[in-house]
Amino acid sequence: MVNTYQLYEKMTNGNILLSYKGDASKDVLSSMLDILESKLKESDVSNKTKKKMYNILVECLQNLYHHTDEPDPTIEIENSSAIFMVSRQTENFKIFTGNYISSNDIEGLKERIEHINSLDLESLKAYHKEILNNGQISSKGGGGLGLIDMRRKSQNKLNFEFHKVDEKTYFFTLEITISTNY
Amino acid sequence: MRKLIVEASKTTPQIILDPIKGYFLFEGRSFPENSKKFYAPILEWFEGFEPLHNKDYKLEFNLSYISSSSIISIFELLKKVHKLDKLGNIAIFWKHEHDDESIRQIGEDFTKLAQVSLTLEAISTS
Repeated sequence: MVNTYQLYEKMTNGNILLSYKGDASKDVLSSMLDILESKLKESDVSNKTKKKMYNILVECLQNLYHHTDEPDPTIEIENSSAIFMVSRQTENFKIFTGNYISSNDIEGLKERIEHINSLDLESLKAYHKEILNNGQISSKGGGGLGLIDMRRKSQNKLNFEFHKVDEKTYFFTLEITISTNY
Repeated sequence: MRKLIVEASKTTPQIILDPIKGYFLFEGRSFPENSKKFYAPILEWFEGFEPLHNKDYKLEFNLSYISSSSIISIFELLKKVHKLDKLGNIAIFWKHEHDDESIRQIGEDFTKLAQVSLTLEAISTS
């Protein structure tokens, strides 16, 4: 039996603004964005930080949506489920996302994030332009700029992990830190 | 060419394409779930548009949020406009809030990449 009070305390101490586990449907994601928008409006951070946060939140939620919108047929487990969490510490916000991913996609994604993490902000600007110039939107509407944008706007490296679920399936987690100091 | 109006939604901008007035506007937020799908009819509209030689046109972007996939769609649109603007009578304005570095930067990138000249215009926020 889950102890509700313990869970409540955990969320309070971790300064969790919002936490969700479940289907990443369009409606759910859009309501979460609404909730976070109003929480951001009330918060004491600068407009610049609010805007950055909002932008990164949109990219994160759309990633989750595009991942689960057309489930990967190579994943056998029930895979439309995702996790999404936002916390607020004194100096920063943190956004956590997690979703199932086919083992076939791991290598490519890992390389992309590692490349993005290896670039400084000036090179990221150039890389963003390069992708934009050669970019093609996938049928799902994603353009390959999302991760670059998250890294640029947060000015922090993207933390990520792959957890093996079975031979064909991994769980991909992404953690983004957004400083509130500028 | 018929006038096209798309009402704004929570995630998509208001769009006015008025060939008689010579005025095109994109205003609000742009982060549709599927930007390719959302912008397809707009691209199609411009596909069939031919500017008149004795007329001036104004294309105005006043966007406060642009998702990364919208950036790609708007870039496609600008490339299309650049192609059909053989007479050079479509003036493009890219507005951004004065302290919004990232929207301004997107406009700058477009200028360099699409070879269109955008007039960047800082607006003050209330």
